[in-house]
Amino acid sequence: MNTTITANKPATFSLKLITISTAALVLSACGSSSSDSGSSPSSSAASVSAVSSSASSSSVSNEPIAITIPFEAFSGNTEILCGAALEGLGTVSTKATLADFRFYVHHLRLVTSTGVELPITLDETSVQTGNIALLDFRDKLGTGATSCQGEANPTINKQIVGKVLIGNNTISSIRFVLGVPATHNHANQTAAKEPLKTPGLSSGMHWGWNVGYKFTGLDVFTDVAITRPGDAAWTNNRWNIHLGSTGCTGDATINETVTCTAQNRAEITLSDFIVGTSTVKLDYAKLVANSNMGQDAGGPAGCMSGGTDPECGEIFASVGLSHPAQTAAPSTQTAFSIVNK
Amino acid sequence: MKLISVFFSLTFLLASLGGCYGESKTTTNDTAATTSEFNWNLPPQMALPVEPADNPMTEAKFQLGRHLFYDKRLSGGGAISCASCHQQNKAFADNNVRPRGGAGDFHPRNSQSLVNSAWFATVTWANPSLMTLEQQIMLPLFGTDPIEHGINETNHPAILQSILRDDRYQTLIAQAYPNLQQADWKQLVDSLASFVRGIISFRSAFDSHLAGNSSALSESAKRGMQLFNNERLECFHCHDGHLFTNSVRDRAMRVVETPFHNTGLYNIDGAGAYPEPNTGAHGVTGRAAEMGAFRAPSLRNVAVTAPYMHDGSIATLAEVIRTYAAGGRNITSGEHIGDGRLNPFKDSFIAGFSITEEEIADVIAFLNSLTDDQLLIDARYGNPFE
Repeated sequence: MNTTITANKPATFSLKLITISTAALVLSACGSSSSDSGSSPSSSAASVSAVSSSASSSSVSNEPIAITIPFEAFSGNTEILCGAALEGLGTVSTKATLADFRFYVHHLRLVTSTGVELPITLDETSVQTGNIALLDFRDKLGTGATSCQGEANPTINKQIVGKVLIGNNTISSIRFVLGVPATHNHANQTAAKEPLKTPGLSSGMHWGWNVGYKFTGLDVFTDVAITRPGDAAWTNNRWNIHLGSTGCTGDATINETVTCTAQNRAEITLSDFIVGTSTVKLDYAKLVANSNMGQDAGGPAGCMSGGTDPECGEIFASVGLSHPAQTAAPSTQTAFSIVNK
Repeated sequence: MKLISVFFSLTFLLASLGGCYGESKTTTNDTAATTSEFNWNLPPQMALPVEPADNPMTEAKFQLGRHLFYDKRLSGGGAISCASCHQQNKAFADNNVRPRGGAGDFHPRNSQSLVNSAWFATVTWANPSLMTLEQQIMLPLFGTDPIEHGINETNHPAILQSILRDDRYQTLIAQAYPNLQQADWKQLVDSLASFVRGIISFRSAFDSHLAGNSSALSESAKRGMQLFNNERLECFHCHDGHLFTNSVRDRAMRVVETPFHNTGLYNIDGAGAYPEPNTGAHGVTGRAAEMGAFRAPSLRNVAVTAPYMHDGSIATLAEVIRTYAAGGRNITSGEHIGDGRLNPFKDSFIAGFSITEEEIADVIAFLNSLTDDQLLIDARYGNPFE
């Protein structure tokens, strides 16, 4: 017997998703209302005036306002660029140059001084869809051994644009999740909207063995070969940080629910956020601060999120995630910060 | 130590995201269905394979996919097609230990035969979550570790255009997708999957024997079949049923197992480790018990797909049988020294057995009877550009 299924059209589908995620946001806002992220009163006051000026009105708006959130990436004092010499990395002061520097974020929220979460609805653009954005700091393209050495990257993206209803609230923090949400992580990537399409902006972010996306492609070429203790024949020169969900089974394309034993989605909360002023900064040097990038004890070089990948303990801790290789529960993330210039 | 074999039971969930993607209307067969738009041309004992809800089989997609399968334009350097590593006269495998991608990268694993993959519960050596050909095809086309076809963020628009502008493809695409304004990679991947899904092989001497031809198998092959199916050799537990693998999904099945097995090939640390990056299902799931666990490949046409095992590390069928007779492989020199026979994660059926040289020859005669000679030259699966 044949069953006919009429599927939602893409436009309807994305609207539905927004509705669902908004409902989830409302729930989480209620749940976290008792926590206060401790922003200073002066920066909160500045935040309100910044909103008012950008909305071109002297009265408080009860409508969503446009918001642009700039991102920047550094390694210490060195701006992340293809070819830039990154120095003093990790525990053995490794030198490296960039191979890849991209990451997905989703579920962005502003957090008020009383801990209420205000959802930011991302505009649908060539680098944002379904409240997911791809931030891409590579100024040049290329793959394999010539990564970051090819032609100019036309889709370099260092900001997120969206709308948020702030009203009378005083903003103290920004909160987002690093990665691609489960709703989109296991769908058909050739049929996905950008920036989730392969081939397309997710080329190289397509994580074959887990049927999903790399949440981060933060990869460098080290200037001296990486070695493996106890294995003289092993060598590598690329240290990768590929966060992503692991231990996934099931296949959404044949009507199965995909479940992953390790979601590995880091929620990042940054205080002192001032709308219209603050920039979100990722510091690669802080991400790898406790990693020995001169050697790799097992698995692929760097951290590729596997539960037995020994280099993931320190990397996961830097973004506040737990990992079996850790000896103690991780504290707050250290890789991201707010810059108020 | 207790020997472990790992199975996953996956229950079909009827309501899910799957139907929300792709075209606005799709038709799917339920699990009891016996009809398809595609002429599967199967022997009576075979249940129809599952067709994905958003990519039902059609002859037009099969034909479009056949062209793409043999087309080297579908690669970054113009030097690689699917057929480079999946050659028809090798039952859509190749005879390399490990194949090489277009940029010179060695693949860590041996090319697998694509024949009858429509029925495989999982479609690669060791990934429990790769369950459809549509998903798998993304890896050789767009993957970067290793680079195989090398289609990347820079070159993909030009490669797509070279296909879409070709008169022959315009006709094929119009036939496969008559209501579509503009084809994209989704249609190319879906069509490649349709071609691969449609490569079927049930015309071997063994099939003739099953159909009642008592002279189809030699006396040696018949003795080999008895050995294959007896409790001394235990071959049939993993190389089970009409497809000679226990990793099977068809439309009659409501619960599908996706088994992977450690066959005691390595034990490099004395604690069961396989050499990286080929640690088996463990490499995906991270579960210690799945160290060295690989999917049992179908043995149909196995005589033409040497070398063997996930890494091509055994050259001949006789050597494979001797390895299983020994209960695994004891490597005494070189970089992978270790006694795989003592691997703590080894499947309980790899217990070892005694076997004579004559019996080995009989088992090989039976395995040779699984070769479908027509498949190897069938124009239906051949290169349309020749």
